[in-house]
Amino acid sequence: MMTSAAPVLLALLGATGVGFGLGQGASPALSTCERIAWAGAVGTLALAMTEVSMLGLGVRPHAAPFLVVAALLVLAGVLLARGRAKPTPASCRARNGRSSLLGIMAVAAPICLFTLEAARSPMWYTDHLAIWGLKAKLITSTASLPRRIFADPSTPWSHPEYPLLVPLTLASLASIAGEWHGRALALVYPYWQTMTVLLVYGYLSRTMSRGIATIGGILVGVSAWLYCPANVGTADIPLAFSFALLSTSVLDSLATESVAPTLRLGIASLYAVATKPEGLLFVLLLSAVVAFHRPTLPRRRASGVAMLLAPAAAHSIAMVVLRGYIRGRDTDWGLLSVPRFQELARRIAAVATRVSAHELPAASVSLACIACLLLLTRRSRADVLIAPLVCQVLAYVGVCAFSAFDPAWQVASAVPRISQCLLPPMIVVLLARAGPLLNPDAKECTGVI
Amino acid sequence: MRHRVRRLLVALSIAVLGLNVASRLCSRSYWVALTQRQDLSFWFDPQYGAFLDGVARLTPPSETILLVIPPGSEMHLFQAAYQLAPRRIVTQCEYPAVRYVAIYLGVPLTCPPNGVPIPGGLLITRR
Repeated sequence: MMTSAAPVLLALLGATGVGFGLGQGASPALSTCERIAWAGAVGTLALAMTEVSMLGLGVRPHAAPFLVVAALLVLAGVLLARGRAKPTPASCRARNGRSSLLGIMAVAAPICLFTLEAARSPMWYTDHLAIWGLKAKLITSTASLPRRIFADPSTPWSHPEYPLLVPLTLASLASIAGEWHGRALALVYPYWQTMTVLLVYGYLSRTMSRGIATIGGILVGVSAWLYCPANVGTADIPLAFSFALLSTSVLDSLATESVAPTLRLGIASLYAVATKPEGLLFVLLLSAVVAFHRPTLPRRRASGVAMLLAPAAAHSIAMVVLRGYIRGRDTDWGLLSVPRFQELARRIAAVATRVSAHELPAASVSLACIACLLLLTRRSRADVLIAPLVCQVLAYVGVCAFSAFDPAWQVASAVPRISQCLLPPMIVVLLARAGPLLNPDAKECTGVI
Repeated sequence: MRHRVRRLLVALSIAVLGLNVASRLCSRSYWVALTQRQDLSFWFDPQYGAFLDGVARLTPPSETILLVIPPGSEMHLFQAAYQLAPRRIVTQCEYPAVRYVAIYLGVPLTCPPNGVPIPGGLLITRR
């Protein structure tokens, strides 16, 4: 295990370093934790892009070419950053307080536990075997992007229409390690968890206080239904990271005049759409938020929407060029035709029954807490995220009525699992509201210049 | 006073939310499982791994293999496609095109002349 884990860990560390070098322009004046998280996002994107470029050029991916590309990317990042003005310190950092050792340990503990869990077994969950792991293993073992992953009648269940960031990341790590080792590759999932925790912690410590950030870091880290063995090997954990990237960058871009948050919007948008189709939906919803955000100047709104939509459009076009147009087999949009309206009505009723009888009672405690927090606290800047978060969950439920399978089964198997990915942005919203009440010194500020 | 009550309720809501999202960590089975290193890949059928190892050992990576498994067992199919990749795993529909037929029933089978017994089943090479 250790001999295989070491190259994977070194590759992730190297990718973060490359991300630091490349992402300097996008993360001035952020807290250190946020800069690490953004470096992780840029680094893993760079890993996946390097893998696909090598496959396209016919180079067999292995450690040496990755090292060369990493060195070139770091050099490019350093050259680009030369001569750029140093960031002004964030306005409210001085009164944010210091992190206590106990706080840091409390935030780190769930990450350590999940790392132990993830490395306990090779990745085994159905979605990993049938979708993400199968594609990654095919890419690794053939050293190509085989046509089969997009069009093989014998594997219709592998979702050929899904984006490829997760398979390419796993394949690139396997290429660097020189073998497919399920336990070692699983370590990328605690890495994604760490980046998500660091991002939420960093954002809240910059805009609220260290104490609130510690609470946020703990709440994200202990999300035991998101960071659980069943999600190791799937795209839900990186999707949660992409949602956190999108949410914090949208809040920053709406609060400041700076160009950097707009750049981060582009990175986050690409990360989300390249991870899972749900990422594209969240990008579209956030684009609407930015487009209709009245207090923001029209010019800045336009650049924000453009930075959200341009990577999404470019990624969609690239995927269509790569694999052609593929219709997902899980949904039956033919239900929208007039002769099938009655059937659609029956399915909507089945979905509503399932949600009210099972899903709502199961989530009742969490929902009650969220409702209490919203009722007891005052408005904050982060409230702009509430509408897209609610719409996203409603869309998950609504799509189940169009499922090609039993709609009640679809609700049970998908909605709770994919809704968990929205927890990091939800925690940002709740703590941005609760912060000033819990810690009167933690008046909300942008913290970005 | 009202401010204090509100503050207390907010803190309580956050604490309950935290305990609720972390509820899995509170179970004893979680901590027991955490200390055990085990391979969960074949939780649905512990013998199936040896069968797939046998198929992988006896077939070239570029081949297409017809897999015969107990009906309705998706996990057997998914694991075969994943573990045996890049071999292509098909079911009945492409029977004439394949060179290898891997039959898994979980019990020893009578082997035909062109077959090789492997744990839990057999592998037939078609000419």
